[in-house]
Amino acid sequence: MQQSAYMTSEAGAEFVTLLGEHQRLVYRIAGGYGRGRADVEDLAQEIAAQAWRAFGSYDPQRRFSTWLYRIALNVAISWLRTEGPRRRRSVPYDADLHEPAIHDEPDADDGIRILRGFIEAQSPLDRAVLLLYLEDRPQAEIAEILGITGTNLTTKINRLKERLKTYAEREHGTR
Amino acid sequence: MELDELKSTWQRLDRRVDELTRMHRSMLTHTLTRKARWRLVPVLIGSVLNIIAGAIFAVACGAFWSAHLDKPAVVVAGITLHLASIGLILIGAVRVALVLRVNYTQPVLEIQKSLAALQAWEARSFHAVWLASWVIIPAALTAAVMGLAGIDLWQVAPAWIVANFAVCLVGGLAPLLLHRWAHRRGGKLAAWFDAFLMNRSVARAKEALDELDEFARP
Repeated sequence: MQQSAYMTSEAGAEFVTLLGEHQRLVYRIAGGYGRGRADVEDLAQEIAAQAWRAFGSYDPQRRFSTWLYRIALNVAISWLRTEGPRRRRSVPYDADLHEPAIHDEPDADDGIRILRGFIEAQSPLDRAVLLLYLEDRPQAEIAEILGITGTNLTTKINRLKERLKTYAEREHGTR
Repeated sequence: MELDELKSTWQRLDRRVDELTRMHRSMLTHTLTRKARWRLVPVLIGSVLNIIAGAIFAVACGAFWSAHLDKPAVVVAGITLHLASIGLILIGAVRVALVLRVNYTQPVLEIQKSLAALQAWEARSFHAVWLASWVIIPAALTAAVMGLAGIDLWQVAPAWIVANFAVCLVGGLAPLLLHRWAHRRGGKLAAWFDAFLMNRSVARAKEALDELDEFARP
């Protein structure tokens, strides 16, 4: 279980600094799982809250980004499995709630539309592989974050490449 | 289109991310204390209460049936309630163990497996508690009448006990049987039973576990 260690003001300040430096990471992962701006903001706050809870067990010898990616992805996948379907069922369309998420540019070109559609078409776990790949993380770090072997990761990335080709051809006639 | 082209498109979205992070620079940290509660805390508290209630009942039931060894029907009723109390403790203990395994800082695959196992356990234990709560009604009545009035109900009205047991068995099993029937017919009734009996949760948990197993395989 995550230890909710007593946070001294020093630890709190350190956390705020680290989170500030990695805020883009939080929003990128939230943007990869949330559907609209309201989702992304809610998810980003949830990720930050869970990171704060677990900060007592953070080992400064290790990379903060790897630690934060794990939390962000675990929170986002759990959120997608529980909150995601519930919201889609119960929240009727509302322009204010369904403002574009980070990948929903109003003037989105074909590339962005393919990117958005392809991300949404992936299962929660494959989406994690895809997002970490898009984030340009080294394969060893991706494998460590996800808890799979390097060989398994290579296979999954190759499958994603194949799937993207098929997806782009089918959806947009793009090669 | 190649995956690396997608990567450059992803990098182009920096402008949008910057806009969001600028807008909410302070929001993430300001709302921490309000939101930093673990979603599983209510589950943990509920499970601990389960264990405490189960332990109290187990002690009380043990003392009760051992004090009435000369009345077989009361002993059977007491042991039934005793076993139900132990079941309550076990359900709570397994749930606590599963909740304690959830640590979001661990690798994604490991934690998602723990969460799916917890979801499956929640749904399955609901079925067990549902059936048991119906079946123990005659035992609870027998014990209560003996405890409060000193009357052995089995000696006085055995047919009533048997009828009561049969009614409770039907009451417990009926939704499960109706659920099967509704599924053969399909439609809203089947969906309602799925929600009522948490079958959808079992199916969803199984789906998630299958997906995780597949993901773990190269």
